[in-house]
Amino acid sequence: MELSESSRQEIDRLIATCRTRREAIVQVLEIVQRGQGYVGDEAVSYVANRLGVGRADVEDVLSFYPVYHRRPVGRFVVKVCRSLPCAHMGAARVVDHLSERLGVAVGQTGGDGRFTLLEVECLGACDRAPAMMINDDVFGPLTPERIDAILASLKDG
Amino acid sequence: MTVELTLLPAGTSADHPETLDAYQARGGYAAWRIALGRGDPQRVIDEVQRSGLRGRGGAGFPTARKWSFMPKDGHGPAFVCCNADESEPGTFKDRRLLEATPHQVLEGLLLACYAVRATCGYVFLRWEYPRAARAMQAAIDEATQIGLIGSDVLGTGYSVEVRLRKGAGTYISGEETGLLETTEGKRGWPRQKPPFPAARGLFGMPTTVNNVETLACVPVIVSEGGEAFAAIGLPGNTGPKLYCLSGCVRRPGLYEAPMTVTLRELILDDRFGGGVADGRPPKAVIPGGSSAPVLRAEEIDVPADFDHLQAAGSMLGSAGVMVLDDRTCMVRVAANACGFFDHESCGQCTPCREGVHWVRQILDRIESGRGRPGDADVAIDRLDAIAGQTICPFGEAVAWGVGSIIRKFREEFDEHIRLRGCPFPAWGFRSNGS
Amino acid sequence: MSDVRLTIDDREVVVPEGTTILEAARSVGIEIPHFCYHPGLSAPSNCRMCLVEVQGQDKLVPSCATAVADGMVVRTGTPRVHESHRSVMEFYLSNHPLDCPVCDQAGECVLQDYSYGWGSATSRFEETKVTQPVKDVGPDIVLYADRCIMCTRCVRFLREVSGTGELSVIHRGVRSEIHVAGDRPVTNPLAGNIVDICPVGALCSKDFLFKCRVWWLTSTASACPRCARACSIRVDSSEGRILRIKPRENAAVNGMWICDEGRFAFRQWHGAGRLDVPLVNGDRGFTHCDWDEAIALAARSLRQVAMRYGGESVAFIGSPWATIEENMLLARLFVSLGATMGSLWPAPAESPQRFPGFEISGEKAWNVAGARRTLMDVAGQLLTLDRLADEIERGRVRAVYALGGAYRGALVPCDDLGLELLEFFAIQTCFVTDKGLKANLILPGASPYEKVGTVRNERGVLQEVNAVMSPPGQARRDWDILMALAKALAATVDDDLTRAVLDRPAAQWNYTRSASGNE
Repeated sequence: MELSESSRQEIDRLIATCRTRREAIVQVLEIVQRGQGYVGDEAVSYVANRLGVGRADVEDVLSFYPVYHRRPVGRFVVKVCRSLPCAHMGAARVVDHLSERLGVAVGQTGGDGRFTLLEVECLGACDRAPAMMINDDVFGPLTPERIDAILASLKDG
Repeated sequence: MTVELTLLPAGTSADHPETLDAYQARGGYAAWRIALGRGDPQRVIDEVQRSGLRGRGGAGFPTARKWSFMPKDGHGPAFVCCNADESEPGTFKDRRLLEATPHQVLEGLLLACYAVRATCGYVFLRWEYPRAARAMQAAIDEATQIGLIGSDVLGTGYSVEVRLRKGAGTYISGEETGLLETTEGKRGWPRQKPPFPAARGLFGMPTTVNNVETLACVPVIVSEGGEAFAAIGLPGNTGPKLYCLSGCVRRPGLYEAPMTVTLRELILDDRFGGGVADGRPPKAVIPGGSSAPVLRAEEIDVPADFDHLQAAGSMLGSAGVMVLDDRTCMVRVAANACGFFDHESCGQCTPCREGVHWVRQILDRIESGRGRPGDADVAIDRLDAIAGQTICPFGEAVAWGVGSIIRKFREEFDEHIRLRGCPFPAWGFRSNGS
Repeated sequence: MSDVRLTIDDREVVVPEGTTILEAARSVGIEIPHFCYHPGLSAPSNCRMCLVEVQGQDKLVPSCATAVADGMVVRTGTPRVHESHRSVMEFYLSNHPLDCPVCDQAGECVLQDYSYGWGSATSRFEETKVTQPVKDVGPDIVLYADRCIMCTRCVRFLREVSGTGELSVIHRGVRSEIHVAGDRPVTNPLAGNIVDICPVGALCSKDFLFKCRVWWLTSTASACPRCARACSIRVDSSEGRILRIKPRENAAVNGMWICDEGRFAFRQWHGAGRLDVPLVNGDRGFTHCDWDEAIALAARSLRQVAMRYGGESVAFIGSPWATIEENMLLARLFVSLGATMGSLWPAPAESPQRFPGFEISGEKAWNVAGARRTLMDVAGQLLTLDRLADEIERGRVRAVYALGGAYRGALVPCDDLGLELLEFFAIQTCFVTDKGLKANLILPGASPYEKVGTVRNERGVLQEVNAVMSPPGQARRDWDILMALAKALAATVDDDLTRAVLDRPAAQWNYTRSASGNE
């Protein structure tokens, strides 16, 4: 597993602010995922070794929190909110539309590795329902046209 | 200079987070300097006591009282955690505060730390708010640079640090002891209380957990005085309040109002929601996020404050006001809400782990036309059996939130079962009709 | 720490401050149902089975995690509490496979027992059950994850007692499951305890799996022969065969646990290769003989040596695998013949194994302390084996009689004793291996599971040992062999001797109640 120098430094800085070895697990996994896109088995070993905790501790945390990906994901991770305000405003149709446009089922990553489509709980964007998050950005309220425009505007790299 | 007694200063937005200069220009960090200048943490607590501030996270517990539980003679580390794990469906107020005016939240956190003699403040911020995280980290760095955070702040001898920690996508990490566990790098399994966090909290040390909006109220209370804050609203329900309006309203969004505002006003008044979308009548309102019991349309002439909503059989909760119009299928609403809780149950306590999943399956069956007579009774019985039986209030959240929908709209459940299907339209793309 | 006075079900209870309601109730014999609580582990209060009513509190409280307070009034049997038990049981059974007919735990299952008390014969659960796979957890442990009730006892044991942390909970909510972390199976020396503490049939011992319905088992309280800690154990057998061994709770000895070496130690004494007939070493090597012949030969040889060279030329060697009584009888018998020199086989020595909540002794025999002290008491002194070898070499010892009894692979160290210089050497033991004992006579003795008596562990605790089965073939209990020899040596053993031996210090036995799966 190749972790970038900047990620390593970020981890070092973070650990310096932690009171226990365990404390850093959740945060370090986030840094690893930001760098790698996902947290693979090697990454689990890396985190366990780096923090001096057991693999069990890392896997325990990893499986509890839904934001972590255990397998590689697309360059764009599309998360559609399915909680009440968004559901009520058509989240299911948002998913259908995205699924059709991207050729990807919920929970899957497209063959070209561009998109991963996921359903998630409340994004805290209920005033923009139905809403979705693509990587770090939130979009809404969505309509089919708006979704198409957003997809067209996404730039790789 | 008069300081506007408001939580959402004009001109700020998520796209334009308030800079340190702008914040200071409108009186920011004056409270922090005042408090440190007075040199007595108890005076911060007293001021907040006079303000009548109650926690904005959901439970409405008086903030000054919560702070007073912290040991006064402690020598070791003590902490304040800013709960920025806003995850309650229908709620987005903390996001806006964090993104638009991070310094205000940070100043509130510093004042809270001082009030309870904490050595370190933690901002626990949900993963879904990366923009808020960047804004908050920048605010922490800026405030540290000009000496408002650090050792011996402004030469007063008081030292405090602030650390930002990110969540990882779980609702339960917003429960105060779940938050502590996640901050400690563990799975967010809530802790049995007692011991309460003020006795044994983060890393076993005395800890206070406060909501973002609660903390955002504190600077103005300290700088303008508790009485000024208490003058807004009614006794017991004082100060400005943020309301998150979503669902079938013309203008969903975040609104600030005194708690004398009624739910009906929030939904219909042009200063707020501007009416139900498409001009339809409302059927139901969930006033405080998914955990709050639903109110029927005829019950919404009630001030949206802690006490009136409680008296009405619901709660202010996170002030996530979700409006549902007359075409809304309440079975689907219940199934969706229960689906959320099923997804978010941490799995620690048996009644919640097994029960929420059970009820979710019942509700899904009813909605899809496979309901059987008696299903609704079993669902209510099982939900009631979760409430009061779990380590954390999640049990009550699901039992009250979902249970109230079944109880108040029982006729729709029975109709689904009779018709072997759902008589309402599917949830398609909806504009808000504005 | 001061005492706290409270009332539980109208009974006044006084317990030390900090005691939980559950433990306080238990101290007066009131059992509050529970799954996740275990006295040897932390209490997560996640099962919600132990909720009780405390006067003045709106909600029921978890008795396992609530400390008593002065004047507290607790009720464990109100309708509300029973309703809570019933309700929690209904949740448990909703996703449980209810496969009791094929479950190893049936008959000693807490879930089953509580179902009897608070379950329902009909189910309102009409949904799809969450299913989970059968998982291989370790060399002797299999997890039927469907039956798991997520009490997390196993996870906590491995974190808190063994400190090895192989298991964790993964996922959350109804999809939570016990997980073998990092593909690291549970192989630690204390692993078997997680099967014992699993309150349901989720964790099963492969060794015991489908061997026997638990209600056909005969349980015998005894001590573990494997090391000098001599853990209190319960030996479960059927038709004269040991099927499994479990710990008995004994605060003075082993707390609540045993190690896997001890758990499976019976295999080291049983099976093929056990000596089951007396063997006499003659012109054609070792040949079988009958007991009368063997005892007569021993008595004749010993008497001859004693007459020719004096009683002090006969020596004896006690055994750390023999009981106090056997060692005492051996020593008294030979002292009465005029013997002055006795020794004791050393137990094999290994490094002790320390865990956060348990320690395995490095001295690999149960009665090292008991044997030494007994032999010293009777003989006044005890020679090391080196000294004894010296005495043999110098011709001052001409005959040796020994108790052996070691497990297979832990042969008593005869090689350097110079036994070939002796005129007579006899040993009572369980195995003969090809390294060969240069003995004139080998008498088939009993394994630790076949004898009755007392042992003293390394901490000085006396425990009663009970026979689970009879020795194989013609093998006999070592006490009986010694008594036969004494008789053949003609009246040198009087009633006083046996009375002295058999008048065991019963009052000193640390003999505690049996531990079940749910402690």
